Amino acid sequence: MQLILLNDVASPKIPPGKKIILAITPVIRNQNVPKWKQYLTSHFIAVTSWFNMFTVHQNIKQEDKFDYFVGLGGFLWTNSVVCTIAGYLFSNVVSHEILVGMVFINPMYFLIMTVSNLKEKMMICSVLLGASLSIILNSFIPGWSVLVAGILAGSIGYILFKKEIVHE
Amino acid sequence: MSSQFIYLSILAASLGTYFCRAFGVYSARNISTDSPVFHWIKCVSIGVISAVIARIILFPEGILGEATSFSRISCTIIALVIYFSFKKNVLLAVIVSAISFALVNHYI
Repeated sequence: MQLILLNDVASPKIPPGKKIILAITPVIRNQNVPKWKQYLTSHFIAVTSWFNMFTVHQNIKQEDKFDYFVGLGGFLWTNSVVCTIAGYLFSNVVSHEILVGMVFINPMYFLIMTVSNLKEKMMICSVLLGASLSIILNSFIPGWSVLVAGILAGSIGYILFKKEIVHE
Repeated sequence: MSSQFIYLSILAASLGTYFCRAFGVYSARNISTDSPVFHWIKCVSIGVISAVIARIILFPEGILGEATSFSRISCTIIALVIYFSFKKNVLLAVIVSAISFALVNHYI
């Protein structure tokens, strides 16, 4: 349901989640896990699982992270399929007012989860710049504003605060 | 639009996303969580997400586009205020903002 709602309210050119996959795969990497399992698990990677994994991963042993993510992502993925079917079956029962409220849940959840993950200055800078540039660039390159804003914001945030990275 | 075209579109979109995901896993094989590239990717990822959120709130399409900018912006502020006022409670902030949004759009 989240994917359907997001497609409904956002740009048709929302970039694919490759960057999120690049951000989460090194975190959950386990040399003992066969490659086919890693490729299969990539289908569980989405914004929600990424946010949740980043919130808790430092409290989980490296060798357990992959299994934890399979459980988390698998549950979310299964849940999204069940909720999509339920949404399709019961869409006529829900009033327009409630439907509008439900659609608003998606961006608010992303927003709050983004804010809850802001601990480093480079991330705070990237978020503020990403939002600002997206608004500005929307007038000039509406189809690509999200992707360009994100890359510019992330690069500037990284360059400005890379000296403050705490190495684990 | 024929149903055959829809099924073909779904198939093409699925292959596109599966290929991207597989390529993401392949590309990440040599990236360490301590490397500069990893930190840059983290920044870009969260930058893209914040750009998506800003776009959805300010320039939405579909059902959200029918709502006023005032309702979207005010309920976003409500979500943030609730989140920081109630011990960073994610669920409470999201539910209160969604209910506020439904009420604002119904009565205003």
